[in-house]
Amino acid sequence: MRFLRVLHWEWRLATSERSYGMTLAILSGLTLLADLAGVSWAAERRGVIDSTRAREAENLRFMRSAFSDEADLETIAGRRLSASERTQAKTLRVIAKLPTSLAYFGSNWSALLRPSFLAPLAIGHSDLWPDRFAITAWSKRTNLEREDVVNPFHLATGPFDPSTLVVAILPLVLIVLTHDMISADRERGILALTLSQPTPYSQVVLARLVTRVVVPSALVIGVSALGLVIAGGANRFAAGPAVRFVLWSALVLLYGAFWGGLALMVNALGNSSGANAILLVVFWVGTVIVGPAAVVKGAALASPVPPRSELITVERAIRAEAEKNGQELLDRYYRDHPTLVRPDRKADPHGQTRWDAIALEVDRRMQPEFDRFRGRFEGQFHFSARWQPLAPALAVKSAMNDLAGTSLEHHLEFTARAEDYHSAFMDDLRPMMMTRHELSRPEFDRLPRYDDHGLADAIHAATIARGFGVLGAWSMVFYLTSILRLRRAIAVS
Amino acid sequence: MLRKVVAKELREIVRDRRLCAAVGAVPVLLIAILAMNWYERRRLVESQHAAEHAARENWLNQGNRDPHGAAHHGTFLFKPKLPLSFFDPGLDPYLGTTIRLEAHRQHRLANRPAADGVDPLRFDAATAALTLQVVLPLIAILLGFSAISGERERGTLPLLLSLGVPCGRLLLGKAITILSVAAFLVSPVALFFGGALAGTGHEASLTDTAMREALIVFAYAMYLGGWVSLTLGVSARAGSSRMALIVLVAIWATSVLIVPRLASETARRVYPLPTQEDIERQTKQAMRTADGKSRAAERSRQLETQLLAQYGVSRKEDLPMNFDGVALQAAEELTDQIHDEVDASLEAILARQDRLVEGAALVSPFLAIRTASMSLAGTDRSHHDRFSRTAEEHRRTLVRTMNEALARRKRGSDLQTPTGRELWESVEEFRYRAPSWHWSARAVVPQLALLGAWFAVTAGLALSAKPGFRGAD
Repeated sequence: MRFLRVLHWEWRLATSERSYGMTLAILSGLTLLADLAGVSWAAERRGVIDSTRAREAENLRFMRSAFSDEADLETIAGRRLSASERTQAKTLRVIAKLPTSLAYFGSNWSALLRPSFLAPLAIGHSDLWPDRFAITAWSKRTNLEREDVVNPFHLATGPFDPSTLVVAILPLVLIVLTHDMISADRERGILALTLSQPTPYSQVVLARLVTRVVVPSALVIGVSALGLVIAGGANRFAAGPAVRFVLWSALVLLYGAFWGGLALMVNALGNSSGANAILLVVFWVGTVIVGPAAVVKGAALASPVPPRSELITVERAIRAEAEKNGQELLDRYYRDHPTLVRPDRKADPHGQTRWDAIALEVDRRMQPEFDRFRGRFEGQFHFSARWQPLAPALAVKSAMNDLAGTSLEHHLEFTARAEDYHSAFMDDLRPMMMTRHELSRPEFDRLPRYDDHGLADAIHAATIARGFGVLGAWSMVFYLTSILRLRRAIAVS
Repeated sequence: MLRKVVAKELREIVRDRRLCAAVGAVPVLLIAILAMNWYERRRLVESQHAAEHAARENWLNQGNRDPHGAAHHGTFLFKPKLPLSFFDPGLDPYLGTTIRLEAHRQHRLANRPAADGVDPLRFDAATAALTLQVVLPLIAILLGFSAISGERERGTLPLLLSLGVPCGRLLLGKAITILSVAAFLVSPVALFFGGALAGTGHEASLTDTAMREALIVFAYAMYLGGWVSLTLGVSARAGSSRMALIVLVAIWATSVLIVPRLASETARRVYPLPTQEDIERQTKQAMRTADGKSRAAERSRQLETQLLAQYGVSRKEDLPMNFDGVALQAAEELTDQIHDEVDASLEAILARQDRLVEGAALVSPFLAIRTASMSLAGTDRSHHDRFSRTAEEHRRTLVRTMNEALARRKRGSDLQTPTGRELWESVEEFRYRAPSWHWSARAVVPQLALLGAWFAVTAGLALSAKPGFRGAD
């Protein structure tokens, strides 16, 4: 009861300061802008994925129509078609039964990563990594090399989303509000008076933490939630997203508590407000800029991913060798697959099967190279995870990205699934390509489709737990040190 | 007098052990960053040289295939790392590094190195340039926010002024002190710049690297000078050191963290780029006539009619050249033309986005120095585009050479034209020379002017302050 009175008093004190209201207003405005940026990015990505899916579905309808008498393309599409769309549809109908053309044509089978409901909260790695791969008979490397046209300056500047705002800008706001939470009393000469009151000073400090740390953090959560609700669609009240949003909010509050604890500890040292501010700004640079950069750079040095030029060089060398031994590879393929009937020259006039055997060999021999690249990348990832306790901003951002479904883990998993899908797709089509026989409708329908099983909605418990663990441990250190410091005699002047 | 002010200020900084520890970490950090990036650049240069050599060998040793097959086999080019990219990698990590050259298709540079990293924050503090652009202003703020307000709070300002120290001289002394400390902090950069001069290879000349370095130093001096002046100006005007610090950190955060991201986000929203699928669709549509027919096939038919009439024969086979080669080249020129159109429309959008972001440099000196720095280091988009265009020219030469060889190859008379390695060797090895420093300097004139204006305005702000009056209140 007494604490509520103190809290009420602190709230009145804080709101009487013009700077407090102004700071909160600026923070709300920035959160709103970050929210808009996140929401628009996620909507854009969803739009691209949905239109790719729709186009793919339409293409499939055209191709299926090749196995029936249905011939009116506009009836099949259910819309008017332009001249070039009609030509494309006709081509699709022609190639539907030809496995090799089907496999090389592209834009009929894609691996797609649809953003999760919480994607607006953290753009994460989704602007750097592809969210869709066209799966074709071209080499795995070619299939996985997809990159959208993006202004590189936008990528270099990094996204402006609620999570970035929380990690980088919220601490600065909290520093402004908390750097003098004890020292100001001393400098105004009222610390001795406050300590002489029957109200324990710890309650005053706690009330200050609530008004100057919890309130701004809650404000960020509230404004972010508003953005999600507006942009949410049917998903907005589903249990899964709600749980993940609660976890995201808890991370925001804990990160606020981390900075509040740091400010309290610095205040407990008994320096002036100016000195506190300097120290906290230096901590900010260390925590938000230098620490994460050191860990990321350390990871790159500890487990360097070879330049892509190496992968290309290796693939070209393998291809050159495979081309030289093309006939032998072709013979071996049919030896290894005795049930497949080797097409005669009439069925394969341009020797396409030889090229397909070469492509198979290139993919087979490139697999260890892919695994090596992936291994190096995973090495970086593990290094970063191991050292995140020393870079709390990195831990919290990784956890937030994970909750939003835009983390590196999500994209690595997506790429791995796309790779598996490429293998499954080719395993299904290749025997038909190598026999040059025409596809039947059941064979066409049996071709594998990509299913992401709600990948973006999955969370990685270890990453989330690491975020909470690192923040919790550091916060505990700060608060315990502060309590120990404050239990000793406080310098009142 | 000025010397005494500087000496006193330096003594005060040295006495503040906490500040010394915080500030002293900067050169150590800078050396570590520069050394790592130097090593990384060298590793990349070596690996790219190896890749270039392998790509050339692969092209030359492709055996005796037909010229069009060779054009399809194509080759790869690798974007070179310029000498100063160790200092400011700029946009290089976010731009493609490799490009595939083949017939019919104009690929874009692919494989952004940034996608091979695990950084979820993307502050890029692990580059020397970003450290100077982001951290150095903060150091200047920490060193100077209480320079005048602190004197006033301690009551020493009236004393100083009563000793006859002119206000301007006092400010100048404090500015020189902060700049001297900053110069000491960034001194490791000079060492590495010297190393870059010594190690300049075939990518750029010594003069070119030296001029670029000089302009970089000038740009950073303006930028830092502006922050020091601003800090002193605010310190002289603020009611307290605390208020000065809050105002300065707010200005810094706005300039460095908020404006760049907001400007870039706004540019993306206002001038949206098409998706890869949109571009492919646009290209496919452009390849067809209004009634859906292939423009390449139409062109081929026209060409056939024209050549048959020209040589007075009735069959393609009776032409003195292989018609396939001529038709392929005509189709190639058509795709080139369409590619140029699509590229120009993309470039127009990107340029509009860039202009909007550059406009935001009016309120964010960070944007001005960032653009100037990466441009002078040769790691901005215009340098990348120049490489990309040169690579495309090389692709066109390669494909044309192959198509012409095919056109000369009349059935039954294969020996009339070079084949195999002799033919592959007729495509010259790709050699790229980065643009000269004039080219980069001309591009950054607006940014350098903005940085000059930033310095002039903030210096005016500092010099027009009357710190004594408030102290006398």
